[in-house]
Amino acid sequence: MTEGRVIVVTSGKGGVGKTTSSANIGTALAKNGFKVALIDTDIGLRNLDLLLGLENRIVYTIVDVVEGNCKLKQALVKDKKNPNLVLLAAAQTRDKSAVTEEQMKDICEKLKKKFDFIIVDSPAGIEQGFLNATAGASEAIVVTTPEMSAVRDADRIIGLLEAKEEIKSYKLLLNRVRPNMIKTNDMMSVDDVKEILSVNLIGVIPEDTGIITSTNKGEPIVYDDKAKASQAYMNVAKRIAGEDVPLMDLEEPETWVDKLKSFFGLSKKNK
Amino acid sequence: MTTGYIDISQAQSPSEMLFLLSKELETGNFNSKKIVLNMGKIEVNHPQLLSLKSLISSVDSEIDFIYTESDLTRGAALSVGISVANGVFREVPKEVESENPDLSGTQTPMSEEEAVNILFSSNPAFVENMQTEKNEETNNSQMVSYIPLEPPSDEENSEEEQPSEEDKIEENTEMSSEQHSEEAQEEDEEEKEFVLSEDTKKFETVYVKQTIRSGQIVSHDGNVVIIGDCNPGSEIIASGDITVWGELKGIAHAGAQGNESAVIRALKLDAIQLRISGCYARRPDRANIEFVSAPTDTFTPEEARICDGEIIVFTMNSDKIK
Repeated sequence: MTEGRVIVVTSGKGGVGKTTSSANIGTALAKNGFKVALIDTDIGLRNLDLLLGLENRIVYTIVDVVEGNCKLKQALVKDKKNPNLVLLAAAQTRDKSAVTEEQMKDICEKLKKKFDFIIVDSPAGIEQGFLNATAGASEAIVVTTPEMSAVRDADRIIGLLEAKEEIKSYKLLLNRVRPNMIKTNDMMSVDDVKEILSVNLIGVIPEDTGIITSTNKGEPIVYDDKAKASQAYMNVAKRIAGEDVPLMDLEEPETWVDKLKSFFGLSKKNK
Repeated sequence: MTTGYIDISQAQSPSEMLFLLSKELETGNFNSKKIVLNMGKIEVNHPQLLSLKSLISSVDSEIDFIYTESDLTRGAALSVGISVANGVFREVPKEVESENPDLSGTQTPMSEEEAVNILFSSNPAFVENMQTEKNEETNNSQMVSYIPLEPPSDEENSEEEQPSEEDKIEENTEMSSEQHSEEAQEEDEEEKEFVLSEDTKKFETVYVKQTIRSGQIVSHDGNVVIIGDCNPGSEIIASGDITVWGELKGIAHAGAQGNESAVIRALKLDAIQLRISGCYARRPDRANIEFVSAPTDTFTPEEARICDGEIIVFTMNSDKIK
């Protein structure tokens, strides 16, 4: 078996969907038959376990592993639904300094041998947590939203990733895109963001209220086949695995009211 | 209501059966169904059956009937009003026979091939006095379903490196069984008081009067009393008992040095995980749905302790505490 790929999901800015993307990409890859390990490196503010609904199953955390309280294998929490997916949870009662970059590298090296993909969920910021998360990774997914602040932070992160020799490739994941707002020129378009950051896209995820429900239920949205965000994440997973999937059409179907408006020249689209 | 079939007959022990059943109810589509259980040869006692029943009712389903080859299980099932079907003794409701002619016609439990979706789960839910038969009708009232959680073990050398808490379990085995029988007697005789064990008395107690929030740990070599809530993400670790005068929603680890007679009690017991000595139990997944529980003036204090190697939650009746 070839060694697994370690992919860090990072963003700089908080709240753009790193954890949601990690959970969904990991679950989607596992759904496609790959063996996936998710690592939460947000020590002290862990959320990944909550999104996967595994909060009540965590006994050992990444801190227990590095401190030698347990073996790595004991700390891997199996997913409820998918046996291909495991989670290495962060400790809630410690902080980022509890793990060093060397220890993180070591964990990634060990996991590489048993899993096809190791998805590392990074905390917000560019301090120790970010350094830990990127330590063992060879690829990166930079999550951003089409907002100026998020794009600026993404640019900063990309600069830091470029400076790291170990990171061989990095791709952009554009999250929370609202096609209707792009249409009316109220939101940066996908091409605008690409232009500013000059990084290749790995996917575009539309804004989806289903994400909120799925987070609260502790069930990643990729289990809901009908949701648009779900399809988008499945496509991202396919692209990571090397398939060539075109970006999906985010256009929402025109309602008859829109058609009427455009007929009378009222629609903003015609401006 | 349609019928669903769950097979837990491959379970080796009641607790494994609980695992299987809860897993199946969590992952399969068993909402609002009449459920036929194949329990095989597992021996299940009265409280375990009550747990099982409440687990199934937590997904708005009900037990239609069960298949069992164990006399003990059959007796227990009949005493809690569950219909039993098997080769020797069959008490299948008529409507079931018409619905499932294939099943009731045979004397053996349905084969695995016939079963559409087989896995079994079960789950302990627990009621005070569940050992005594007269209280069986309370099985739908205040029940807490905690699912046993096996501490992760290293499959390759599982005997070598276990968590340190477990090392001392054996030393305390005698003590806990005495304790256990003492409590069982108490319930039978309906004494008016909970008696503090010698163990409890020998620890010193620390009082903490504040809300314990996510990321905070209260750790003490003795008993801990929290006056306030313990939010999710917090941890209370004590070598003695843990008492929370408020809502316990984080992780509580009592008897952390290996004291199996330690207990965890709270005005509202809603912990993500309960750990006593080397025993672990987790909250059922479905309990996550409510954001905030409805405001209430009445609390039902509950107490968790180890019975037969599993953590069991008892309702603390007010007439017993007075």
